[in-house]
Amino acid sequence: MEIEGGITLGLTLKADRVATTEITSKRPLGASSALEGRPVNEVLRLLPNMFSICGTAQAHAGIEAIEAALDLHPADPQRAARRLLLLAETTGEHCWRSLMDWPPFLGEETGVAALAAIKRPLGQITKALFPDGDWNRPGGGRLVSGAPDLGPLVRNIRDTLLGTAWETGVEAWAEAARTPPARLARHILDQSLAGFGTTCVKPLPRLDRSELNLRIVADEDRAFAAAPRWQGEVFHTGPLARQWKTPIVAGIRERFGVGLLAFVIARLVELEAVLAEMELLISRLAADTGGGDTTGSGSGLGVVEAARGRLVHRVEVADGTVSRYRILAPTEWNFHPEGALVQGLQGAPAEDIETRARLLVAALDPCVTCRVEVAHA
Amino acid sequence: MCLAIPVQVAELTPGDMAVVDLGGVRKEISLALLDGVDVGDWVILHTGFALSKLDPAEAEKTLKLFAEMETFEEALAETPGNGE
Repeated sequence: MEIEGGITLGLTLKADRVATTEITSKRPLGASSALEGRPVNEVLRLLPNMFSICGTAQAHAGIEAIEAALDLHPADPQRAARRLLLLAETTGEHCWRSLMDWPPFLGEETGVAALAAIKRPLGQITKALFPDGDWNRPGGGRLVSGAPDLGPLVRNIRDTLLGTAWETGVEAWAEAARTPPARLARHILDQSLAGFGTTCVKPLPRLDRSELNLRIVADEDRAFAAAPRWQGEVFHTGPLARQWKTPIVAGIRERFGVGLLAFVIARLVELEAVLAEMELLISRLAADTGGGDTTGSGSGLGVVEAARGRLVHRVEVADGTVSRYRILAPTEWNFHPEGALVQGLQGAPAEDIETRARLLVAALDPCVTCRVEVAHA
Repeated sequence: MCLAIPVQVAELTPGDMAVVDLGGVRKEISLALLDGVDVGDWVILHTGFALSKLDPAEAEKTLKLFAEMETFEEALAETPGNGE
């Protein structure tokens, strides 16, 4: 079998419209069970290496869950440093979408060199803060002072992705800026695709932790992890859900609906907010030795906002060994068989549907390959 | 959850590229996004790009874990009501 799995989006056209939309997922939901029977320290060392594009978020959710289970309370600088690393990963992912995934839709080359100029310095942050690479040790790792200056990196990201006139409103920016995301926005507006894929599916709200905990405990057959609903409803999660109420995003929603442009712009709005928060966090870091007793028992939940949305880990620990491990990942909300993508495409015009559906998929950003198949009824 | 398979760099090639061994198959990948990669290093690969380095012991543990996972996924898929 293909270990990574994948998603297939099947569209059937009838009378110039999308008549049926179907999602099939072959994602390996049992992956986390392979962590069971291992000491917590080993699990935490494995987590960031198991997942290629969201390793930091996975390790972050894992350490939160394990620390909750062991009743460990890392110092504030440790929490700030972890959050900084999580945001660095989110930054890298949002830049990847903007520079690698989006340009081909405009017939342009991918921006490998521009992404490299961003990813390389981002990749150095972990070592600069935690020379031993042990940021995900229960209770925290050896955090040193003297954090790097993020100024040049932040300016480069802003210039490369947002460029000029970002503050002047989406249409003026799309017209004036020469960056790949601005060109995509202009393409979306020119083609009248701003409201393409508009969905009534709501943003994922804050979930009550004890109820969430019980849902995951009771999820023996992994039905909840495979196709989650909350109080009977499906939701979307990720940059749009998080930036839902910011003025730029709210304005787009009101004018064009919760569709393609809203998903694209929310990622850029979030990028700007994330860069500002990273600079703030780095100014608040202080040296800390970290560490803690990892021999205890208990259960815990770790909830983080990863680049693609809400990521939940639940762990049970017995005498320092993981006895049960479960993960609820954002792709299962966004690519739910009745979720935002499916509802947004239902009834869409058949014109150029394959490319447009692929663009909507890219805007929603699955964590695995999503193949689009179009058939005629 | 995009699972990451560690690969070992077998050869450095021009243009910030490298040849890696992927389960017995040699494949060319890009090192553009990562600093300081040498022959023998283990890296995490995503869509043809090396994303991060990991030490050989970590790489071995991760590969072993994936081998176990594959067995587990197969067992899960065979359970009625699960999988495809």
